[in-house]
Amino acid sequence: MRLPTPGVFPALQPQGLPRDKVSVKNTQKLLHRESPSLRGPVKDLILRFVIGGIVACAFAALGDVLKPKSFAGLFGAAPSIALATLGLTIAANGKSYAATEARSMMAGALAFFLYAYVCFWLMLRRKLKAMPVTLSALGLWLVGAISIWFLVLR
Amino acid sequence: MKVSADFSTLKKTKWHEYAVRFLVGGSVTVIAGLLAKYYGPVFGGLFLAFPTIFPASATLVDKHEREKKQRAGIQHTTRGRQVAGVDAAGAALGSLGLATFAYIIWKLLPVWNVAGVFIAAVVAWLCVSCAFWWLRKKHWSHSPK
Repeated sequence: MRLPTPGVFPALQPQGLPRDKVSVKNTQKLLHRESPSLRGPVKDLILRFVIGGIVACAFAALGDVLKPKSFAGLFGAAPSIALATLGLTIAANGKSYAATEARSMMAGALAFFLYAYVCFWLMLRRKLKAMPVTLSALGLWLVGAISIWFLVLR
Repeated sequence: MKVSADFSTLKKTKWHEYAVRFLVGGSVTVIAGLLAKYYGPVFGGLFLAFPTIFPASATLVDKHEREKKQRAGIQHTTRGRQVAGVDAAGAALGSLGLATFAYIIWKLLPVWNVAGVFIAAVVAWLCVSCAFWWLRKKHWSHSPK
């Protein structure tokens, strides 16, 4: 069986390299140069961490200064993670990938409603302490979100 | 009821409380990114609505209210839990705004420019959240202010 000579299939030819120098090493170099997600995954994670932390702190501080507390509570459900990550996601994976994430985010938001309502009921009606209630009910959020994902989105 | 801002509350929050919020916010953002990378955007997207801010805020509200009452000489009080409960009611209404934010991003991102979609989504989140809060105050409110 004859192997095709370089340049016979232009669609398979990585751009930016001479046609006679197609090799595994060169292709890896090219991928490394062209894909930002491959360039520095650790750098990307650090960037996400810093941006996520800053955005969460900013919304939390906004919630602290506003009165009455029922209004300030609105900022407890601010889209902090989405604002921190969607920009980076669009840059790395494109708009349609980010739109798919947003569709699933709706399920997460509905689970958030269930979570916050249960917290409200346990703290205001049952007079339970905030820390154990808010932390243990995170399991409810997870179950709610995964249930919606399993039943509707999967 | 009028909405106001009291910036003196920022001084009451200790530096380690800000550090906890920063760590939680940053960690959840990283975890959401990793889950999307390994399990795909459909599963990873769920975690864009993870309750990051609310648990720490409600805990701090409870703690600060309890400390305020203790300084006034009242040792056993449920005031902190009541205020944290009201905060939770606000977060529940805010989550409806969060769902609207996600809907706008989902529908408009493939057809509009990125900046325009983000501005529209943030404005929609704020408007829907405030509208539900106003409706609750006007028609369904029975809880302490």
